Amino acid sequence: MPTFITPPDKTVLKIGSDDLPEAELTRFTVLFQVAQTRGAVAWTQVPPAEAEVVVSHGVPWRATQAVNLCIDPRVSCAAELNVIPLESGFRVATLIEALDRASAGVLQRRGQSLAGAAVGYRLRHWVVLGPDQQSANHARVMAAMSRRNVTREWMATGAGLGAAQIEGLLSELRAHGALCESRPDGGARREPDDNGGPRVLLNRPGFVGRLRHWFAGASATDNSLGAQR
Amino acid sequence: MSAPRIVLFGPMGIGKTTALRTLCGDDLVDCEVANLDTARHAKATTTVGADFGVLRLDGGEELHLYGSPGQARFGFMRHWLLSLALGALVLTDVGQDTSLDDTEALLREVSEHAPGAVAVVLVARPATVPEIQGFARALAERLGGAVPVLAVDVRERAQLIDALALLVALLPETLE
Repeated sequence: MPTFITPPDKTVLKIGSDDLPEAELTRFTVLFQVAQTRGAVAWTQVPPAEAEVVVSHGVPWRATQAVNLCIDPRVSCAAELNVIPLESGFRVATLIEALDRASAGVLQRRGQSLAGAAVGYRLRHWVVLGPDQQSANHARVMAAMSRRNVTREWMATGAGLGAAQIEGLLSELRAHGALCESRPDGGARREPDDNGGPRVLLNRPGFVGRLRHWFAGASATDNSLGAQR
Repeated sequence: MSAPRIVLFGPMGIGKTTALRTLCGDDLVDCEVANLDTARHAKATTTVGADFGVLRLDGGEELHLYGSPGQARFGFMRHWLLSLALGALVLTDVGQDTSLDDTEALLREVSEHAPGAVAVVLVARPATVPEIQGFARALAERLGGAVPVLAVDVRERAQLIDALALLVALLPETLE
């Protein structure tokens, strides 16, 4: 049975691994000791029938509403089965990634943010992020945070950051004194989502989305404008 | 209907015309003339009127880019350019003593003449990360909120595209 560490202030998710064959359970147990300390959530072991994340060998053991960590899947992992594949012989890094994905799925269902409901984060000032945090998704989160309060849930579902990436970004911003947190239940004032926008766009539905798409493609490939001129 | 536009602001000689040329190549009309104000800047030419370039998007849509003259006397030109702008790139050299004042003034112009428009500050001359961080912090204190600050080489198209992508990311989703 894995030992579960429950740090304060972390959301606790329920995971069940008892259905694993003995050899895989042993591997999972050993690596999980490390992996569980790296994520944004804490885990507690429960029987698979009560779990929000079920670790299974092969195809999920039964129809379930849980998110399934599926070791050595022999079928394609359809999204509707709530399956996250984990290759046989997985390593701790892949387990961390899989647990992040599983926790994001569970938290999305719970309708709460990764750590506390509706805590909003906003930038006090801009920060130049390090090379490992210069993705387009990080930039999107930073852009949003410069204009409004952003929840962890939005960072995950709206901008595509993983749980570990969210933690890393918030830690970096805290270290620079650039993070402003607001808790609606603590009496902090709510910021408006947006301050309106340029009048010119009002008659161009979807234009911002098309611009984003175009710039994403141009940035990724640096395709010459000459090709479009 | 006029095409949406993005404007490039900044002091004389900071590289607005170069940035437009990097982005738009031949799709650029510049208004460079011989520079008679060599006391302010030693460069051979300067912009009067406004530079104009076009980015052609998929589906035939266009995004118009304008570079405004840097001198204060062309404020009327900036205000006209802002009238249909969805955003502004403000170029600066954080190594200059006046960079904070100049950038603050331009960002306030954007806010006043294009309410709701978004802005990104581009550090267009070499600077260290601590210098940029300090500039960003000071700018936010003056303006009462965070403004994206990004280092770019105006000769590098990929970096300018990233800057434009960041600017577009600032636009409210609700406009879509």
